[in-house]
Amino acid sequence: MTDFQSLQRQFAAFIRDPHNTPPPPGCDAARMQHYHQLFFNNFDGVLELAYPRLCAEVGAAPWLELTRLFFQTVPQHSPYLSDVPAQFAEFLDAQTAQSLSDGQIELAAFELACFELKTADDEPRRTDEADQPPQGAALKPTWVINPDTILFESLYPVHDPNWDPRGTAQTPTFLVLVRDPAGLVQTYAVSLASARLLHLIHAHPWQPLAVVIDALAQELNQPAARLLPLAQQQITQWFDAHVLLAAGVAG
Amino acid sequence: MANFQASKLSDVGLGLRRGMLMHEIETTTPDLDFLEVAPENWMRLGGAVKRRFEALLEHYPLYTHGLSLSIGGPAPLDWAFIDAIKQFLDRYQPVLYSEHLSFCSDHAHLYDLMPIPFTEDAVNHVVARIQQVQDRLGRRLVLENVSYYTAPTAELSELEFITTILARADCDLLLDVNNVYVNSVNHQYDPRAFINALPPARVRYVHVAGHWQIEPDLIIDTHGAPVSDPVWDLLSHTYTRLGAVPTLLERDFEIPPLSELMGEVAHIRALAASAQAKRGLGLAEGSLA
Repeated sequence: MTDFQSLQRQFAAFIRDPHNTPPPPGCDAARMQHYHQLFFNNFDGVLELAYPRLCAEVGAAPWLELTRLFFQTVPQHSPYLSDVPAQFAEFLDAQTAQSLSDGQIELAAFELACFELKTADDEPRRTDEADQPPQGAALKPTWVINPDTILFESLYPVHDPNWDPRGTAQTPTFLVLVRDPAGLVQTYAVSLASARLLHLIHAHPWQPLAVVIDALAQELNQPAARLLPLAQQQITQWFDAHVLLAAGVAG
Repeated sequence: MANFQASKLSDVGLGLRRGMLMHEIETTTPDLDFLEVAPENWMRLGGAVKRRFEALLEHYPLYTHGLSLSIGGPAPLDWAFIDAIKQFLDRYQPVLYSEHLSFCSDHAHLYDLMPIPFTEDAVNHVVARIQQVQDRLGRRLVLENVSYYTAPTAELSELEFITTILARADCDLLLDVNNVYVNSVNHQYDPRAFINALPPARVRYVHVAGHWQIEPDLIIDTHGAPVSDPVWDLLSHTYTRLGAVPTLLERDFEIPPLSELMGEVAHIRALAASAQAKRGLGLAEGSLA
């Protein structure tokens, strides 16, 4: 008799690829097909949940061809089903079964970022838990970026449901994704300058706004005095949107 | 976390899933004795959902039901994963940690349940792994009899396989009554005789669920429909035989409004009460033999 672990491996191999694998000894082939369909549906379900726009964009039959090939060929080593969508994004980059446009690949990256941010194990940082500023610093308000925030850069307007991912026209797009206090992912499109401002706040969390604006002014070759009111307005909006959290005071 | 006393024997609970059902439970605080979660679906969550989960634990005791342990799998146990489970269990102190007497991976995960071949070697393999996991977790495993649609050539019956493992590994049973019924149709045996042969002292927890009968001799265990009449009858028989055991109403797909689920919860309680009354009168099946 075949040892039981060989039987187990045959059982799993049939579920992955019933067309190229014999059923294990003693197993009913028709019923094994039910196993294949149930397992695949579970797999495909989490991918449709993570990539709803990509799934609709690609179309039902090509989508199933992609997810079925992924199911058959990419071993999943994480015990968490929620890790499968990230593996699928890597698969999409590497596969050649379907010709996906650059825009479709970017859309997949955007949807994955939203999916992972929605469920990430990062508590929103409360202001009273923020790190303390350097001692002896002059007291001026400072901000930190909410750890539940992603600055997502793309060559395409991936957040726009009316955008055609098959088109080739590029529109550099800067998006701020934030998980709000209700646990929902909000998306804000920002300018390049605002994206840089957010980068600088992230890179210099304890610098007062004037110092950050000076750095931004140098990058953009603009007078700091002209940028300051715009930056203050932007920061107020980000604070209201939970993108920035008040960190306290610093020099 | 709130400190709850040990469960009453007639406790009935629901599985907690994100979405509308969780919202309804939060807003109406229904008359449930516990909530059950799959640790894998909650242990890496953050933000608002995690805070909402922890707030619910102020109102309800927690039972846990794992998915990815793969206790019968051919690959080595994933100790990093088991340690993460332990961390979750230590943090939230559930009444029990249950899993499946099955495997869900070979060299990689498939995220669903496959039947372990019913062989002596498989029993040895599973018993050793259960003991290792129990030692690592510092708590007893409560393992569920799983539904299956076809199985490789076997040396033992399903019943022999389960009861031998329970005895040798010294672990407990999550008796899934729907699975007994499903398997009894799929593999043509008497479900009452199957339940009668289980060791009562090891049955710590019961699951009951709906299914999908796709052929006269094939039922798929979907958890996507109300509990069927034959399963209600078998649950009643189970309570009469074993006494009332903490019971979960499973519903994972096509989830109806909470009010509809609470109707089924009420029916479970009624069956448990009726069975307890019968047992009080000495009418438990087998007691008159």
